Amino acid sequence: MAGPRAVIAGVGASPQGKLPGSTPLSLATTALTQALADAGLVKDDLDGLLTMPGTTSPEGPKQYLSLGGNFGINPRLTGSMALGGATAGVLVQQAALAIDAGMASAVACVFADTARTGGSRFDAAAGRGDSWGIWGMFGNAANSAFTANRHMALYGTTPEQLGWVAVICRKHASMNPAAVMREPISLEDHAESRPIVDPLRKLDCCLISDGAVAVIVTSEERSRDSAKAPVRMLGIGQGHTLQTFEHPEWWYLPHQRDCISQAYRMAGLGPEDVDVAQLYDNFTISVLLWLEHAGFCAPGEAGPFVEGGERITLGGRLPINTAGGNLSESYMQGWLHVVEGVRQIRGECDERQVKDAEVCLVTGRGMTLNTASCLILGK
Amino acid sequence: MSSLILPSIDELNRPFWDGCREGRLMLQRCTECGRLRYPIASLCPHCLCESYTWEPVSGRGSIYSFTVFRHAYNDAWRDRVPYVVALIALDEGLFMLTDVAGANPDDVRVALPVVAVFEAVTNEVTIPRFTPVA
Repeated sequence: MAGPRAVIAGVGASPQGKLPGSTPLSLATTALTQALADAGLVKDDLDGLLTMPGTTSPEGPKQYLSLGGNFGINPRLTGSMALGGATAGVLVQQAALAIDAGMASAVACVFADTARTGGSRFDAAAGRGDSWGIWGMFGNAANSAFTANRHMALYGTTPEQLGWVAVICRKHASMNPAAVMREPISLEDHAESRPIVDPLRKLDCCLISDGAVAVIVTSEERSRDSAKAPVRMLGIGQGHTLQTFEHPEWWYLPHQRDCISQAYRMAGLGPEDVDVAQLYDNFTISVLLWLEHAGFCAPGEAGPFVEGGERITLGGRLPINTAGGNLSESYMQGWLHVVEGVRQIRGECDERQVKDAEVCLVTGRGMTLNTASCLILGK
Repeated sequence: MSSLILPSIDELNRPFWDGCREGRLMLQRCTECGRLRYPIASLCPHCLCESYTWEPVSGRGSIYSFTVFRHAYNDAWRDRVPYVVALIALDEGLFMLTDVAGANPDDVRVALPVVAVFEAVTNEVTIPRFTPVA
């Protein structure tokens, strides 16, 4: 097996953070314009447009209509998907598969949201049928708190080990001029931050941000005219547990292991080949699970793996979230993880560049611990 | 206290909520493959059979995992913060998600034995919760 022949030709991102006056459409326009320039393409080159509606998109799943209309494009391939934080990877994969099948040659994948200033409240009750709100279960952090508490009970993982993930992501954000939160934090800052849902504190949780991101996937042939060297998807994978607590291992997201194993097999690579990783970090505990599922350590050993921070920072065994991640760069639901993966492979990351980065794992997860996607990026 | 969030009782789930009013935890059993199931569903997720019966279960189990809400996400629960929500592993091998009543949040642990209790919140609705076994 081999990954798709289609390649990532360009990436773009709007400013991030608190952007009063912006709209999902205005931010998406900025990101897509940047991505086109990055790819060396013009808008009429696009024959595909895939979107993920943000939490404040007025059109919801029909967002591709307003963005395509604004750009005056009438593509052969379009639509929206909503798998939460797994969507970025899934849309890039869908674009690549469609291109490989000959349905399109240049597909833009776009996400835009004004969650910060647009009044999004990430406090909905989850669950099917009778709302989990009957029992006080609100927001997404609580699902990951279940994960964290069981991981702690089974393996002795500690709040301090979660804190190392927050500290290192912030350290990396401090080297990223585009990051929203750049002031370094200490383990003490983490331990003293406001408790939300035990064991998760404020600094265990992702930001809430305005912004947009675009990723352009093209055929290999088309990429020969691109402004920059293409970034390849050496392997791609997905995995999903569409049940929730009725699956006994739901809390541990077992589908994430399948997702990454598929991609490793497709790429003919393993964890030992990965130079840098962008691991979806809605909450700190999520990073620990990715480290285990991707085989960087054995199940239960991610706490000690991140302790001290050396292994997961620049110069260490596996630098993670080199732009700061959802925790400190901006909460673009994993889309900026793809952007940073592309930039690391291209060697565009200046101070935070991982030396000789040739293989980057990018992961995404979403919904109520249900969905996962990954890309193994390379040259 | 703000009023709690109440279930939408319909034809499908009425036996569950009627059972709660009688102090019994009622679950569905598939008549085809014989498996108990929860959450409440119109068809069996194992064999897709649409016929089932309701039967009482023990109401006993243990905490599989949990969290303590220190932040009030919803006004209905503001006065109960801090409160515990847990994934309960029922003795029958199924899971339920409920809050944990009558426990000091700092004493709740994974594997703690718990038993169902029933709180009548209106004349029509009684909500099942779990509490540590004394």
